[in-house]
Amino acid sequence: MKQRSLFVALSGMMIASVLLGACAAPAVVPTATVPPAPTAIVFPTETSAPAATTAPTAAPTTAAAATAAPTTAAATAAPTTAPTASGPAKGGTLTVVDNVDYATLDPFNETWTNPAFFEVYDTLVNYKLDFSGFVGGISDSWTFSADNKTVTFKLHPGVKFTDGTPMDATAVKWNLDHYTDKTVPNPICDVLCGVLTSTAAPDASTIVLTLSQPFAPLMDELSGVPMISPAAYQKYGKDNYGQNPVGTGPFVVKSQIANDHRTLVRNPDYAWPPTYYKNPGAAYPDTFVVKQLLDDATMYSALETGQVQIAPVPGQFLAQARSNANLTVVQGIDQGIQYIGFNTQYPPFDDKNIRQAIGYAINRDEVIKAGFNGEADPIYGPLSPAEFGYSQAAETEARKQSFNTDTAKQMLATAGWTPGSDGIMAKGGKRMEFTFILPPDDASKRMAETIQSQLADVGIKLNLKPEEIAALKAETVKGTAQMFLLYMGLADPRILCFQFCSENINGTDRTRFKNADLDKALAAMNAEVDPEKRKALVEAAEMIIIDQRPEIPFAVKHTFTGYRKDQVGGLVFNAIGGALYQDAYLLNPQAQQ
Amino acid sequence: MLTYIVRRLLISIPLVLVLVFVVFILLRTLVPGDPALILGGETASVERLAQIRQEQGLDKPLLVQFGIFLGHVVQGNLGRSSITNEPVTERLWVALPVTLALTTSTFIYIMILGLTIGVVTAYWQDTWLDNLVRVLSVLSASMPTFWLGLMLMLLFAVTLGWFPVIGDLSPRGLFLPTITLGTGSAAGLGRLVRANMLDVLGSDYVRAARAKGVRESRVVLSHALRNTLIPVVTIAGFTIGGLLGGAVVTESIFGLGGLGTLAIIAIGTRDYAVIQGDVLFICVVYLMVNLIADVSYAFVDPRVRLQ
Repeated sequence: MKQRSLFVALSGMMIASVLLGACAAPAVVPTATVPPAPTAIVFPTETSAPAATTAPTAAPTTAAAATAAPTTAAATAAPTTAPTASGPAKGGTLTVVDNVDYATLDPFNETWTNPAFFEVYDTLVNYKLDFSGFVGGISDSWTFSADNKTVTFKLHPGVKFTDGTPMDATAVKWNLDHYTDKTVPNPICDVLCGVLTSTAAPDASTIVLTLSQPFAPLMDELSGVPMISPAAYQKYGKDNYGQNPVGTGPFVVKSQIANDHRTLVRNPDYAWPPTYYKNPGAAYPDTFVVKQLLDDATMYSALETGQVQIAPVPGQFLAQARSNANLTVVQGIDQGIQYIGFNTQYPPFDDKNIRQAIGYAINRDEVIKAGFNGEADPIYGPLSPAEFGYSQAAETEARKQSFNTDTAKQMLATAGWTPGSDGIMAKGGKRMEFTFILPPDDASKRMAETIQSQLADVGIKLNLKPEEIAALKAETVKGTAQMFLLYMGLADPRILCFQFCSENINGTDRTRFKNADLDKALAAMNAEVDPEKRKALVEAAEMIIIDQRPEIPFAVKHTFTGYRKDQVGGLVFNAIGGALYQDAYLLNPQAQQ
Repeated sequence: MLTYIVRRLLISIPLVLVLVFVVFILLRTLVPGDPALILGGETASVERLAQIRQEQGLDKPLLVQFGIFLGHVVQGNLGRSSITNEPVTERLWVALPVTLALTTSTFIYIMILGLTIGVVTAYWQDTWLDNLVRVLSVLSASMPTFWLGLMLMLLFAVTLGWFPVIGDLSPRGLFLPTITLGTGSAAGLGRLVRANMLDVLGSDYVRAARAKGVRESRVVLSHALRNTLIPVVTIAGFTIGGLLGGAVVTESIFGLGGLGTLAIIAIGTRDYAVIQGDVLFICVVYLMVNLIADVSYAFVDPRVRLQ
């Protein structure tokens, strides 16, 4: 009898809770107020909880200025505890967690310009820290010819590869010639093969590039072209070079296990870093270990215990990290955007009014809250404020299409769609029921669910289908996708051509978008070398994309990097919150061996 | 005995072949996702994608691809990782020490803990000790590995600082991963040993040994325990085989780069060569370990005749 009454009680509670959940009134959502478009790159801000005990020589952490006009190229100041008068102490092992996908240090086999390259290689030019322009890397200066089809670089003297061979114009020529060799597929050839017609090395410190046409993204591309030692590549061959990479960079690979970790040691001869660093010579730590970890909790715990000095901070540990007295958290913004993509060849997504209407139905604040717990900025146009060419005017124009369910319903009605008996919009026997594919991570699922309920409010039914990234991309390439949730970013606005140039359908044009005006605008954008004129052309292209809405951009993520301020100093951060190690040193080298 | 071993080895070959063939075909037909897209990266042009497919041999008929693969395998060449271009054998070789270390320590832990639990709970059946240990066993067997691992890490590594968060091959570095990986299996083994021990402890020869005046510890540990070993050997075989295949969850939590991590990354990046090489390796290891287990029955129990 006792058992029976217990059963009745439990069932009653269960039924009651189900009923209560179902009856919960949906919160009344006011029309979201749209913030004004950001002006320019917002530099990373550092937050650091006050230390529990005052360290003897610690200088207070300087919080960087919240908004920096693009002309300010100054880096954020990291804690400047300098233990000795002659500069930071050398020695110790700096351990970093870097979960960026890294496969190999062989640029001919890697699929993209991996940031890991910059540990062992140098490039002709480097991006400034705020991505507003370029400074010399292993080149000291460069000049364009009058027709912008020839560029002459003056190389920094005395640069050597770590195998002792000189890094001179002959070596640069070898590199560029091999990268543009069409028989060796590599991502650099994707861009340069159609543009770089010839290279010449008239003397050891001069390299001349001849282009088929003026090419605006040239510097952006060259900032990611690593110079490898021709001698080493010839010695090891294409099969084994990856295990024995040789460059001119601040570190030399000692051992590496793909997808697990790499151990590097200081290059003692290094003396040619980009000029915005304080340290003009070899790195301070003896050893540099980059570890990759699959689990977020492990990553944060390793930072907490000091087993690693620098690591990305996963969203769920942000509050903890900010209140941890040993950590400084650096916040930057992503260079890419999160977006909802349409297969523009799949009806009714071939009609721009439908695409726009769906854009009006999206409440970005809600989606950001669900996906990133608020740690993202809403975006309405196709470029992040951290990308070169971001236009405040374009973003303002895009923000006119802000959350408004009435407008969305009106636009659908104008296009002939009316609610069916089940509340789903219908027209001529067809219903607005679509498959929405998304990446399998939790944040994406929560965002997709929010989007699903927002579109349900205007009579559109989405069936969510989480898919592994590889499968998701395959669907967009094959053209079987209908709507999808994804992310895309790059430092240079040529990303817009990857995404929307019609020649890239069945490739990177995942929305299968084809628009003759846009193709022309993007081609013009890529050909204009003058940065100011180019910005205007980027803006013009953006306006077409905003009007046509092949995608609905909605968020720019915040990036969070945490470091142990009691263990490491001298870190420099670029505008997207990426840590750079040229000036980095260990506060107590003996403790980290 | 020798003919038995030889016959088992011969049967293994077609078994391995069939399994690898099935995985080979499944990867290329059922598993969604195009490896060329991953190899090409975010910005690959349509032409380069086609070039990559040709280079990787993905545009050839399936059986031809398998034939080429087999031809390489018999020469000891498992191909190259499409992502890193390293030989697959190299990738396996480099991940092996971590897996071997973790397998060894975990196996020892499972055996010691499992046998102890089994003997203790059988001998002191129905006492408070038996009930306590059985409850703990059920708890540990039902605990998800990732939860146990994270809890152990939180308590012993982060709060107390006795062990490192990221594991390594030192005893300190292997301690938490071993406990995480082995506790569930040890609990399971304990229950099995308990059941068998109860059986054996009630048998005639045990009663006879006690009547003869044999010391109790000798009765339990020398006579009774040895006779419960056959099912234990079976479990040991499966356990070692499974451990050698890699422990994905434990390796992920403690940042150990063993065969589990290798497999999960290879699958995520559609690195067909590494997946196939890994499957082949696990297959062979499993069959060998079980062969050893079967052969050892003859040593454990003289009544067993291998056929």
